[in-house]
Amino acid sequence: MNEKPKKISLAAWDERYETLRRGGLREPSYGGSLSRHRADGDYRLDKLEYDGSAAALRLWNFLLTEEDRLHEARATGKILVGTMKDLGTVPVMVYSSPDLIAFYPDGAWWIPCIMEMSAGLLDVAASMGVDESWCPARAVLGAFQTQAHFPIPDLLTCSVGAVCDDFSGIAQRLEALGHPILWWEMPHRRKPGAGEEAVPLPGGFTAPRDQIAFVQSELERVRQALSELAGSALDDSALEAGIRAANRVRGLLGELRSLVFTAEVCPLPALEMMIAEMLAIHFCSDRDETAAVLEGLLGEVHQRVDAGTGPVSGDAARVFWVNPVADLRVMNLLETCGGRLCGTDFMFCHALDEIPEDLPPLEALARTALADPMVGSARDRAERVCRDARALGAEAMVVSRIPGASHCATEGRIIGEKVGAELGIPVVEIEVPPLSDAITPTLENRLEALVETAHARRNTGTL
Amino acid sequence: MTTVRYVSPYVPAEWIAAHGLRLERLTPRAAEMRHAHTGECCYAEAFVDLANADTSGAAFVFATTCDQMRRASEFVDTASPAFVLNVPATWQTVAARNYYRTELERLGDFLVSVGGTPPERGRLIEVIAEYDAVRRELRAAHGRLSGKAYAEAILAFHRHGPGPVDAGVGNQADGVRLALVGGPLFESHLGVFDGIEQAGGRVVLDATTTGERTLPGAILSEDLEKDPLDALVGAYFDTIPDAFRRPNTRLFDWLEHECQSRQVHGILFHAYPWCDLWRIEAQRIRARLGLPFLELPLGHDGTPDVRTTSRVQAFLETLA
Repeated sequence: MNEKPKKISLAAWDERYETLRRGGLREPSYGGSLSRHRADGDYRLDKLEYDGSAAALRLWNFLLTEEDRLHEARATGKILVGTMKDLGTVPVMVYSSPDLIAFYPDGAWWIPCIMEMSAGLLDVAASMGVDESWCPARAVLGAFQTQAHFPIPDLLTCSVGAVCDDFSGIAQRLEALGHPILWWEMPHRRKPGAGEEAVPLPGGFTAPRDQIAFVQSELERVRQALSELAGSALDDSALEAGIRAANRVRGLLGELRSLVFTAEVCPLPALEMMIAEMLAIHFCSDRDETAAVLEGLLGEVHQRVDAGTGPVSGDAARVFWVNPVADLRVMNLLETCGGRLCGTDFMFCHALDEIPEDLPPLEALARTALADPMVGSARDRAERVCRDARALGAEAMVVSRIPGASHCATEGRIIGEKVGAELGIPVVEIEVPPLSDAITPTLENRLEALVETAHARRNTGTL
Repeated sequence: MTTVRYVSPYVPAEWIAAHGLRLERLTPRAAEMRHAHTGECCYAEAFVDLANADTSGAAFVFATTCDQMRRASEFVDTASPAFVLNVPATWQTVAARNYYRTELERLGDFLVSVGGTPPERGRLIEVIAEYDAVRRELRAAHGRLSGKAYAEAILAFHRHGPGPVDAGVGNQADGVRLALVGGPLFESHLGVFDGIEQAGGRVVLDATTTGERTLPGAILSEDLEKDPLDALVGAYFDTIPDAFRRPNTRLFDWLEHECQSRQVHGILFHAYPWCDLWRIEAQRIRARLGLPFLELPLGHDGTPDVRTTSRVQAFLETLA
C-alpha cells in the first residue's frame, strides 16, 4: 500500500476490511471486522477514528476480544487470576505458570465508555452507594455483580497501601461482596535516608534496601498463593523465564514508543498508542499474542517512518500526555485539535521499563513494583515526567484528570508547576469522564489553546 | 524544645514523649476547602494549612493511612521538618507488623534529628505506662460524661498528653442512644454534640477518628516489660480499627460489638466529601449494624447548620 495512512471511521473500516481480505489479509482466530464488536454492544466504536492498517485492526480485535479469551481460557481449564491495582508486576508472575492467566478487573473502567453506559455498570455501583464522585473504576463493582463481562477469577490479588483511595475502597467492597482477596502491601516509596543504601530501580527512581526487601516478602506471599493455585511451584527459574518473556514485550513496546514519539511525522495515532501501551500491563490475557500484535504495529510503523509518512499532520504540536483517559475518544480529539502524542505517563511506566534480569527474580520484581510512579511522591513522578518530556522534545503537556481519583486531587498542581518551571512548556489540566461528548467543546477549546500556544512558541523560537 | 504535631491516631504519642519532645495530636479547627473543586480532602488540606502557618519550628508527622494524607505531605513548606510514617494497610501478616515497627524506629531517628533523645528502656516503659493509665481512666470515664464532654476529654488528652480526667459526676444526659461513626471531626464540630442532646439524643459511642475508636488498646505490663516498643506496636497497630485497613473487618466487628454492648439505637455517619475510604463504607456499615442510619452533613467550617440540626431532629423523632 502506497497511499498515505489516514484515520478512518468504523463504517469505513468495513470497506477497508474487505479490501484487506481481498489483498490476502491473514488474521488470528480472533480477527474479523471491527463492526461486529459494535453489533455486540461496543457502541463507542461508532464515534472513534482509527488507524487504517492491518496491524491496527489486529490491535483492536485483540483488545475487544479479551472477554471472549478469558471465557475460553476458563472453559479449557486455565486458572484465572484477577490482579488488581499494581498495574504490571503480578501478571508477570502469573504468566510464569503455564496454567494461569492474569487480567486486570480494573480494566472494567473502560466498559462504560466502550459500551456507552449501556451495560449499566456505573448504575450498579451507584446502587451500592458508589456514585460519580468515585473513579470510573467503580465499574468493577458492576462487572462483578452482573457477571456479564469477564469470568469471576479463581483468585483476586490487590496491592494496597500507597494506592489510590477510591480503588482501595472499591476492592474492599468487592471482598465484602464475597470475593476473597489476597491483599499485599505496597509501601509509600521514599527516598533513602542518611546512611541508607540507595538501590536503583528501573526507570530511575531509588528506594532504600529495606523497602525492597519488604515488597519482595510481599511478592513471596503472592508467589506462594499462585503456586498453590497452579498446583505446582512457581520457582525462580519459572519466574526468570516469565521475566524474560515480559521483557520481550516491554522491549517491543519500548521500540514502538521510541519510533512513534520521535518520528518527525507521527506514524501511529494517539489512540492506538495508548491501547498498545495498555497491553503491557497484563498482556491482554495472552502474552504471546501481545508480542505478535506489537510486532505487527512495529512493522507498520517502521514502514511509515522510512517513508516519512503517517496519519497525523506533520506540523502537529508535540504533546506529552499524563494519565489515561476514561473516554477513548479524547485521544482522537488531541489530534483533531492539532496535537500529536510525543510521550506518555499513563500511570504505569514501571510496566514499560525492562525488569532487571541480573537479579534474583523476586527482588527484580520488587524493584519493578516499587518503581511505580504512583507509589512515591508526585514530585518524584513529576521529575520523571520532566526527564522524559525533555528527552522527547515535548512542546506542551496535558495532565488528564480522572474524575474522582484521589491522586488527581493534588498531583496536577505539582506536575504542572514542575514542568512549567523546568521545561517552560505550556501545561493544561483537563478532566475526562467516561463519556465526554457533553464537554467536547470545552475539551477542544483547551486542547486547541494548548496547541496554539505550542505553535506560537515554536514560531518565536521559544523552546 | 521542638513540638511534634500530627493528626493520625497511628502516630504513638508516647514514642514522641519518650524522646523528650513536646507533642500535640492536633484537631484542626475548620477547613477553607480551597481545593474541594479538585477533589482534595478538606481535613488533609487543613492539616497542611496548620503546618504551613506554623512559625514555632514545630515538626509535623504525616501518616499514609489514606492517599489524600499521603500526598498532602508534599504541600508542607520545606522549612518545616516533616516526616511521613508509612502505616501498612494490611495487618494480618508478621511482615506488615514488623514494617510498622521499623517505621517507628525510623520515626525515632527523625525525632532525634529535631532535637529528641533516644529513650532509655526504662524511660520508654514509664511513659508508655503513664499514657496507658490515662487511657484506662478515659475509658472508665465513658458513661459518666456527656458525649461532648467525653469527646473534649479525648481531644484534650491528644493535644496536651496525660492529665486529670474529668470525674464527670452528674454530667450524664438522657436521650436516644446514638453512635457517631466515621472520619475525623474538626474542633468546631464539637457543637454537633450539643445539637444532638438538645434534640433528644445522646452520643454513647464516638467512633470517629478523633473519638474513642482510635484509643489504642490496653497494654499488659508483662508485654511492656518484655519489649516496650513491641507493646507499643501491639497497642497501636494491632488494635485500632479503621476503614483504611485491608481487610477492614475489624472495624465492622468492633462497631457491631460496641453498638450492641452500649445499646445504640441509631447511627450518625460522618465523612467529608472526597474521603473515599469512609464514604464507600456507609452502605456497608448501615447493612452490618442494622440500625437506623443518618448521613450527617457536617459543614466543612465546623458549624452545625440549620439543615444538619433539622435532620438530626427528624432522625431522633423517628427513633423516639
